[in-house]
Amino acid sequence: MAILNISLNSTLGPKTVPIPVEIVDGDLNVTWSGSIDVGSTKSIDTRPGRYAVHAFLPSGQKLTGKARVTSEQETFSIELEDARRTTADADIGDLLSPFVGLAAGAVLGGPPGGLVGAAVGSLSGMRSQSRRDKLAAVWIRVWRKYPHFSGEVYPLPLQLLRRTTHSIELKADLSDADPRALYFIQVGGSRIGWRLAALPPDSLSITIKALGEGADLEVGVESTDRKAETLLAFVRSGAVDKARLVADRLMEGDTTSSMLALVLSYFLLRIGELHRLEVWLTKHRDRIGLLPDYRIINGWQLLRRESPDVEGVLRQFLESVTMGVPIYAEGLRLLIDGLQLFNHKTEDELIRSALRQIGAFSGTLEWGAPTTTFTHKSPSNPHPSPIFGIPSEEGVLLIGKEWPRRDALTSATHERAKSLFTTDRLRNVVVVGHGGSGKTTLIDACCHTSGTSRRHGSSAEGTALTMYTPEEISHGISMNVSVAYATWNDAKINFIDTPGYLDFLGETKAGIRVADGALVCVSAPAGVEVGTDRVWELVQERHLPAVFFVTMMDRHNADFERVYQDVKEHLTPRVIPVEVPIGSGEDFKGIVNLFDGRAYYFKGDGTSDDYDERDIPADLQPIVDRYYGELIETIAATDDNLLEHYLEGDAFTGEQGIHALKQAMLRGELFPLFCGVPTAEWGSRALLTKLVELMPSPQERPAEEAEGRTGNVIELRNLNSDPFAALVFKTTSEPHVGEFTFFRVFGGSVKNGDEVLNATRNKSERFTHLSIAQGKERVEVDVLRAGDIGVVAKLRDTHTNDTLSAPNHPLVLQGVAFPEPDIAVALEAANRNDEDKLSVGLHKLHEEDPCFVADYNPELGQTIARGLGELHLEVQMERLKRKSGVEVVARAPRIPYRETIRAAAEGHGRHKKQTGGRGQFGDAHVRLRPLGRGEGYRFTDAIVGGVIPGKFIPAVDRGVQEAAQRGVLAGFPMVDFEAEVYFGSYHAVDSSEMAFKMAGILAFHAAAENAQPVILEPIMEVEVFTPDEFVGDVIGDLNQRRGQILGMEPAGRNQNVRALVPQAELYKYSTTLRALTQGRATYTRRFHSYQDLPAHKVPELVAEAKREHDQIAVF
Amino acid sequence: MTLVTPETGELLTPATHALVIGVGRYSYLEGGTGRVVPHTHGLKQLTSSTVSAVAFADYLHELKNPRAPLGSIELLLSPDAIYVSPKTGKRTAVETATWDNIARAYDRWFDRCDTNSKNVAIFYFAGHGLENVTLALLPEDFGLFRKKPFHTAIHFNQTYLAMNSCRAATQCYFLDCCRQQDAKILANPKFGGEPLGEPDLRDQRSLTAPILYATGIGRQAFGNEHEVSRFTSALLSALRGGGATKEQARWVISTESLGTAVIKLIEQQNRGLHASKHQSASLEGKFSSPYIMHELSATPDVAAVVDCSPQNANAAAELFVGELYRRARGDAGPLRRPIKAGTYDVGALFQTGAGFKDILWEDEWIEPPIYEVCLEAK
Repeated sequence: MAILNISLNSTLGPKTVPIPVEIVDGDLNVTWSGSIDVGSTKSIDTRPGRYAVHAFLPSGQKLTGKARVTSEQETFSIELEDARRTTADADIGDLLSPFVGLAAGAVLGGPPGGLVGAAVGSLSGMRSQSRRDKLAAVWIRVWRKYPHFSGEVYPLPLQLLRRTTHSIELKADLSDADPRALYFIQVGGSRIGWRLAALPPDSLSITIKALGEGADLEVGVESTDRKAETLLAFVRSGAVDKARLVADRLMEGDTTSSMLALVLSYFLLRIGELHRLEVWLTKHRDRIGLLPDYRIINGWQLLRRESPDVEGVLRQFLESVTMGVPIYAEGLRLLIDGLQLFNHKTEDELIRSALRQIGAFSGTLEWGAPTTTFTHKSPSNPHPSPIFGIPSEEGVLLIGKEWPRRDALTSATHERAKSLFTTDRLRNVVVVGHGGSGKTTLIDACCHTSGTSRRHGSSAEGTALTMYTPEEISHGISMNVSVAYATWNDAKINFIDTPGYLDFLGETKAGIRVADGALVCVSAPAGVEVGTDRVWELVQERHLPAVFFVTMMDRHNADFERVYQDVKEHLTPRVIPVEVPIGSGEDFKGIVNLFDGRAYYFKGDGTSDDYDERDIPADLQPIVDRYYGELIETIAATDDNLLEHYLEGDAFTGEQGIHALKQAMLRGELFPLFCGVPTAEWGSRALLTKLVELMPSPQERPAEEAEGRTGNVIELRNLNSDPFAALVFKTTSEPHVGEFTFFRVFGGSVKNGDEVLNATRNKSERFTHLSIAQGKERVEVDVLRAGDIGVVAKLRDTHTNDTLSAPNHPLVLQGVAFPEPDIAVALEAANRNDEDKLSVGLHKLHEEDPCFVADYNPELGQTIARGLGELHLEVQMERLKRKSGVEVVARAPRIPYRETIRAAAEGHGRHKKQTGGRGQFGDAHVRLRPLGRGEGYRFTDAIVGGVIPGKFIPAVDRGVQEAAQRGVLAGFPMVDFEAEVYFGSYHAVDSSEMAFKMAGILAFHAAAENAQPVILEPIMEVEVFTPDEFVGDVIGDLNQRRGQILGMEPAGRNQNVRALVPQAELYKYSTTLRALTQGRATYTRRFHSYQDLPAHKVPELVAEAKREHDQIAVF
Repeated sequence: MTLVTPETGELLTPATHALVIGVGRYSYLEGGTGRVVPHTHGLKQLTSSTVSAVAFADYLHELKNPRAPLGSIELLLSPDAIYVSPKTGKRTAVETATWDNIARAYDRWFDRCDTNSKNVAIFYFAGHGLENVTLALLPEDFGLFRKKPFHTAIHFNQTYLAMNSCRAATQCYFLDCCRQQDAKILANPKFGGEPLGEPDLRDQRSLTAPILYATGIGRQAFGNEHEVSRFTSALLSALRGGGATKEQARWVISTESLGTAVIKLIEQQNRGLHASKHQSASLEGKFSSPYIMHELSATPDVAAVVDCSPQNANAAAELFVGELYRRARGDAGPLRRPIKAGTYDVGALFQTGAGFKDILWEDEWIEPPIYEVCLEAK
């Protein structure tokens, strides 16, 4: 026999941790197995021979050494530092550099709100500013949760232990922690979903790692008790045999931490050593008895006895739920199994309630983590998917730089949850209404109420979720179609926010095109406004099911009944209230839900949708009865079965009512009316519920027709089995947000990284960073299903209105019918060196907004930009400056005047040059006659007898036309006349086409000056939609603009004033109109005709034209 | 008929009894013959699960456990098939894996296992699984009742707890299925299905009852179409020697070494695959005492990989493991092949002028399940 002395050495690692070791002889027999503490030597009896010595590390690695025993005493040592380093970890710097505030030993904690600042540089060297702008910031904080309390942020000091290329290790000292409390570490940021991880009951080492491929962070919590961690690692990896070796060794010792006591308890339960477990639990009850895990382990231990005290066990499990969540994931599994076991036997509300409570954690748990790790913003009521954002307070900035909080406070659910919404649980709702009717605020309220947004933003403060471009913030209005989503009742509602101002009608039409339903906002004080009329028309054109929402019910002059009647009278008689407000203005207290007949009183400070449910107040009962009767009767009238019940006096259930209402909405027969206060989130909960219940899923909408390459038409029903087809409805490029392409999938599904075909342009594109949008934030998803709305990093050759389809199945969808831009402005670069950049910048703007066009007009000698309104153009100029760095000067575009003649006249033109060499001879007599307005130009050949050979006649025509390009009065093109060449002569040798062209020019000038030339000016047909009270002001203003009033007729609740107005008088008319009518009037205009310029205007215009002509001549 | 191997001898004799289920056809999922359930959870028809189940049933005939030899196999397959015993050539038409058929087969299996505390109960399932802590195993007729689709799903956790009252003190559960979650599952309070047996509150004694899952919670398990799945492939490799340890001159596979080997073999499979296709088996359950479930009659093979770095040295090297296992020069890849467990000299011989020195590692212990080395050439 011989003795083999085996020592385990580690210069860096912890000492006295038992490591499983096996000795294997040359025949591969395991001759010894046991554990050896790191830093110690174990003497083992053996025979001389060759041996392999295996040391099994908690990381899963196996260190093997070869020992040859030849003498009585052999010593063999294993160096733990020989363990291979894992290469799976990414460089944390790639994801999160630069670090801020992390010098080793720095204390990160302190009082709530304390931030750590100074930058210490990047792990990966210098990076460009733009790269840094995209980097994430990670925050950390600690929560303390007492039993029965939801939890509080606890100012636990954290100390940096170590920072490596792929991980950060922190230490939290819980030595003074309250043993009754559970502690959670919480890590997250604007791009890293917030996670909570329960802390083991000892001083801690917290490890944060970047996972491979730079996708995410792993947040690991480890105790500084390496013994317990070692055992835990073997238990979790399934290496039970190794865990046994470690556990046996650990139970020999006297000093035991709380964590080791707990982990050993779990292990003893798993291997069924109940007697040892009972003794162990009794011994350590004082240490771990206040933890939920203790109750769970003890419960199962009792259940496995010969005659278990079943009631006692149930009590243990229920107490555990009351105390909070178990620290270890293993405990959560055992608890749910145990409760389900009881639930199977006994239908008990207490058990079901406990299961519901604890089950909520199970769905969000990261089962790969040892301690209970889940997603939420606080330790209670875990959210089914991660929340992103920056803590409003109390957080400690761990990594990255501090973001401007206003911009960063957005939230979104994680991609894991995104991919879970099937098409039948999607609702695409476009939110429309007059400008300032509260659309954006309502979306903010709904998203905040649902939890997909961390803060209820404000349009006024520039923090609104769907209103984020600098132009929108500075003007305080929405200008772009924008998407945000709320998750509610297991459905995802994509809210499509649209501008209310008609200057941005193109964006609104794009939003309506991709929606399956509409939410029409009407302001309680203002009622139906001109913008409401217009968007309602668009909603009706698309046959979208719609609901109305009366906003601002808390305003001074809010009047629900008046708005209801207003909608009924001016928009649709088929509107029907489903809620009744309790009070209005400052007395607005809540709503009565007509379906369940209960009153919901809002409570709190007006920042949440919390409410008290009560009986309907007696004084409101008659009103409620009236509305209820109307609702029931109206719904019943849409469904034969319900009508039969109704007429027979039978009531129908709320569920039947909802179903019938939804069907009626799909047919366009009913439009429910809701109310609330979006700024206070009052009413948003009820609205979300009803949107899910009443709005159609994409599959419930009529099929979309798409055209194949051969002209064949196929129907897409928003099925995942359809061929993929998506309509691009928005492209955007924001310097600090990125370049993105927004699209709605009408058929099939698409995965991140897929190659698709732009069927409109026959170009291949690849989807990268497939995401869903939450305002300006984007959350990457793996897949986007039929019916959903997504966004990808901007595609190279794809523009708004293009169709993306499967490469092998090209399809083209009907695009958005964008309105034609008709308001023009002339642009000049303020700096002449920017001329080139100007045309590029304008082109980019057009790509993003098809309602904005710009090109150089050679007739006017100006670059003319056209848009839907002056504000639209003004905003585009701001964007041009911001995005392309080109500052422009906007001028009134020159008016395209024309000249014409009033009388017939004749003119003779002879071009003769016969002085040496070959001469030139052309001689023509031309007669001009006026034509009717709009008839253009006509040329007649009246030559007889061949006085001008036929081959020269076209040259005369060209000469007349060329001369007519510059009229004889002010140089404007002459139109609406006939030129007749009736006589002339030629020379057999010297005549040529050029000579007769010159003759034509001369003859034209001679004739035109005698044909009573006049100047024509373009006249526009203008339609102004204005409330009654401003009609007088509007007409007066039009008269001042030399307008000719054609008539006036009612249009909804407005008056439609029609007039013919010279274009020259309409420059910046919309600004004037807004001022005249408090922004409540809108107008359209289109070209009507050319009419004579009044005589008194002619000299002025001629003089001006001459001035410009001279200037051109000078330069 | 689901019993493909009739009991031999008296039922009182300790034996191993297996319930093997392979579900590839799903009547009420996409591609099935019935009306598709309202929420399919993205599940479709499978082709590898029945192949895997048959391969596992075939393996059971190789099982060598003197303390509890193979007693019976209850085999259910969807689509239904003729099972040919690899030992006797006997052909048996097996029943389809519907909930009812499985429940009846479970009853028979339970009764057989319950005859002796020294019996070994083996439960194998290949098919779809859905999980919300509770794992639901889906038989062919999952979704038969549209309003209550989980009525015809197997509530695995409670079935496992119900097996506590079975006298067989050693039970092994092999679950070759996904454990996916989605919002529907998480929100469904009725999730879980029906247990095959009645769990008894008062009979939750300690057992040796490991559960070897093909994958972790919320993760997918993979398999090529019409081939044995990755998990079952690893399981069979482990059972055929990859999970063996040598104790008292016998190569044996225990309930504990098996799980560790399967986990490692699947880790090895993951290499070279995209991260989205990675799978990680997990071992859970109860482990009262290790149990030797199989004795090998021959020295097991080890999945050996001998590589050489830098890469240009690989082609110039003749790689060898002992005298028998060689890889000639000119091949840029590693030596990759099964090698009988043992101690070998391992090394690389370079051709003259290649610029590298020969490498020799003497006495390398090559043990199951995997031997992987990279020889650094200088």
